[in-house]
Amino acid sequence: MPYKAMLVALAVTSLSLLTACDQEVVFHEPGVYKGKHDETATQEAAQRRQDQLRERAMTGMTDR
Amino acid sequence: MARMKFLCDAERCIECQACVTACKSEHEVPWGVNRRRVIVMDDGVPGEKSVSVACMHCSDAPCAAVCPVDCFYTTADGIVLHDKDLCIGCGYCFYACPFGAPQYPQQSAFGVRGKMDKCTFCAGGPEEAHSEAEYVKYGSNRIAEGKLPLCAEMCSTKALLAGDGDVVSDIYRQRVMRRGGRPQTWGWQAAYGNA
Repeated sequence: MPYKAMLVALAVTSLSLLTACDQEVVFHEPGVYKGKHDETATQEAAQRRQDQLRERAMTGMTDR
Repeated sequence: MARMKFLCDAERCIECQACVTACKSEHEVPWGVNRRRVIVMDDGVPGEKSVSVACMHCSDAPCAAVCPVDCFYTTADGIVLHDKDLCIGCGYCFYACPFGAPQYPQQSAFGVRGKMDKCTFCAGGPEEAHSEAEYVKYGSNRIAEGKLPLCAEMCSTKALLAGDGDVVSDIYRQRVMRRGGRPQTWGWQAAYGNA
């Protein structure tokens, strides 16, 4: 009898532990950046500074 | 869209280390970490050459490909940056990088290296631009101010070129045409392929 009771208790415990598996599991896509957003890395930001950087290179990197 | 690139003209580099000093000073890089360094080839032999090396911000960055926590990203103008809050200091990027760019601030028991540090093309990182957090983790953000990396801007012989790849290659092409000889675009094939 105690053996049966133990089996039942074990089954109940196992079932209650497995209830967490019902929840949605998050799968991270490999190779995709997971960090914080960088405002200066966007297309718009790069477009905004493009001409300024080009002009700076033309004046600063060429021989005087 | 501009594509930011570095190019070191080995014919002009005089191994003055000004680029190294400028980088360390601008970003207050900790002891033991050199985001940029000058490599001398055939040291002491007539015809020796030196090149200034840092992260080349590769087109298909091998560091990003091997990162187990995916902390690397590339800006729209081709600058390869990383999030130090995600980095676990595993060192995979160091082994993958053909230029030895990733650096680690610690070297202690059990191989604890600390967060990886590398050249940011003076573009900061994924924090608010010009914030204290950005400066402490990544250094100053000159790109957001419309300025180019300080190492290149400080170069006395203009050996180190930085900026839009088209402009950089135009400047270099004119130099090679003027002085003759063959172009030696050190590291470009490895970093940018044929693009």
